[in-house]
Amino acid sequence: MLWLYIDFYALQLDALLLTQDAKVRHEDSEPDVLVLVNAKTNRVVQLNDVALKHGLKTGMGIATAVSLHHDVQVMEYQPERERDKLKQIAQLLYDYTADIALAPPQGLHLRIDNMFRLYGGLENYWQSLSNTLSSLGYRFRYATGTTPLMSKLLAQQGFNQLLDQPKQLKQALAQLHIEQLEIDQKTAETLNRVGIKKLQQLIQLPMKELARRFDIQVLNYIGKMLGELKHGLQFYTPPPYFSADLELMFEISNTQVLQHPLKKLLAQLETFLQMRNLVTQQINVHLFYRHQESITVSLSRASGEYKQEKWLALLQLKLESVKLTEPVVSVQLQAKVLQPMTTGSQSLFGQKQPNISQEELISMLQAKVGEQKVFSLLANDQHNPAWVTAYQSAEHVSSNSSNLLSKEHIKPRPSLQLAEPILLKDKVTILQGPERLQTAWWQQAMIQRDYYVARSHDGKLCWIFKTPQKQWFIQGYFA
Amino acid sequence: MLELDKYQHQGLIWYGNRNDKLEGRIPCGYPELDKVLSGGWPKQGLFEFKTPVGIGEIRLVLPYLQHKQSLGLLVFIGSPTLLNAEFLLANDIDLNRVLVLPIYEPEQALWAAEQCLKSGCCSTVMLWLNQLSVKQARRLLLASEQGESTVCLYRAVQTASQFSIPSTLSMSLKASDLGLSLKVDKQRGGQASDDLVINMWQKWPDLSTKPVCHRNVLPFPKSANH
Repeated sequence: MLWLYIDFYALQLDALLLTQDAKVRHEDSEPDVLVLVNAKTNRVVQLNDVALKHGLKTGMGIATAVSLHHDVQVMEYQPERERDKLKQIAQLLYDYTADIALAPPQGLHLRIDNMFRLYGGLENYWQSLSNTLSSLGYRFRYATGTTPLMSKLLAQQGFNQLLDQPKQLKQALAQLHIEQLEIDQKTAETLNRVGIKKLQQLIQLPMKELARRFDIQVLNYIGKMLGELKHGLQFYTPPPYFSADLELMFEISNTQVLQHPLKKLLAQLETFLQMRNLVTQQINVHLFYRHQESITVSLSRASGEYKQEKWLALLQLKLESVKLTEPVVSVQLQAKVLQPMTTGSQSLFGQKQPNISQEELISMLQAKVGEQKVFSLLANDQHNPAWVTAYQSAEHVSSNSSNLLSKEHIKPRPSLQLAEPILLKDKVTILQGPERLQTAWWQQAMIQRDYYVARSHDGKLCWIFKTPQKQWFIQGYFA
Repeated sequence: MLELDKYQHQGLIWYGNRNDKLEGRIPCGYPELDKVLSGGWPKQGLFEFKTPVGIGEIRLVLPYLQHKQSLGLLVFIGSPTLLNAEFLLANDIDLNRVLVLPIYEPEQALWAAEQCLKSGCCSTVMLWLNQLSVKQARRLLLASEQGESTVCLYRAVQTASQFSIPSTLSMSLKASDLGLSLKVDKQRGGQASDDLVINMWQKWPDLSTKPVCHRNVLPFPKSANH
């Protein structure tokens, strides 16, 4: 078996820098010195190139770092953020390689020997993999090994070579110092004291002897590293939906500016869906504030879509109506319900091609003016005029069968109907009527009304009714 | 020759009745109106109706809507009250081709109208909007040309009469016992008209007074199976 370990040693910082790159940076100003500091130990864990140039190193205390450069930007190291990023990377790499195991917070184990047949050798495999890795923009170290632990150890030392001969690998491993192993300091010291400085010496010792002198954890570790014990790894399975987030370098309080980071996420969504030949009808954009609870912007299209520019157009419309109460610090994009891609058929010799489809128009209108303002009509078979017309969600347009009334039952009905009848105050001339409408006694809000068509003094044609209490109301207008 | 081209381009030359745009008119359903509109409603454009609410302004264009619904959606934007589905059904309008947008903010209503007109999948937009600038009207007109669609713009008489907006057709409506009293204020490739009465008795016997009315004879109540 051959394993590859990829170590993203500055994952959180690189992710941050990537969002920063999108911003327009002043040409002449020097880039900031950025360091991430572990809040518990107060030591620098990640730093950018500029910081390296100024002589800063990982493992330094904050005080030392600040004394080396007067203007160091310090940020807190958050392993859980790296964990999320790592999952995203795994999701991307899953398109190229089958067996991926997460080694949070910064590393990935890849089993690669079973991929060689597909790619035709290590070189080809590495080429396509490294292309993807470098397109991500994160700095990484890598190494191969016959066991997961071996590759991890080598990668963390910056081995950066791909060897597939076990002998060579073992040689490289043997050169490592005891301190470089992931064992606790006490054990390392004990080993040092008995004169074991390099891994080579440790390997040569018989296991039995080791077992007598050291605890089981050390033994397990060495056994797994050398392949004498089985190393159980849980392989990554990609989630069946899309979710990606982006931490913003600067707080954004303008929805126009917010489009740019979201564009990146939409591009990721497009790749995700395109690879799987899927489309989605709805995406949710979560905007996270620093203090208040996050808000969610939902976008939906009647017809599924994967293209980022189509979603972006909707998003722009929707964002216009979003009010940010506080600057946004991070954004997340989710698409939970995915469907297989289908294409509708269009007439080849149609007279005119619509610029956009009906579904698209409806989605666009819904995004801009709100879903509660886009309706289609439905006629119910009811006596109460208030229940006859139903406004329903516009997705139903042209989906249900046409329900035309039979001509015999046509009674005069107004085209414009008031939501609530209003009291008739003026004098009117009755043209037609009465028509009694009575609903059943067991229904709520039973009505008994005599309807008339009447002309008001200013010529309006009204639909009026009289209640049993002899009160007159206007119900609608024959516009 | 060049001069002429320039004027032609600016639309400053009047061709009399020999106008290409007059072709493909859609009959109004009222012979008296057909005559004034040289054959019927134009195929597309901005129709401005200066009218009070509830005198028959929708019924006037119903035959037009029936004709146009096969070409695309029918969109109602900002209607003064709710629409009655039964009315539309009874007049052969397929509810599946109807979209209702109760938008009352002028900016949003205009935006929605423009998108619908431009889209090419809407045939007619019914828009109720009182305040409208010349520029906005021109945008609607352009959008209707782009999408080969029609917008029927309903405006209250008081606000509409202040200044004239660019339109394909503009008319003022008034209530009349017979149906409607109508005056074409302007139309492309045609002339303004005097007041004329549209007789709706044939189509809407329930809603208009019979043309010849003998005061001493009571009309028979209409039988149900009539």
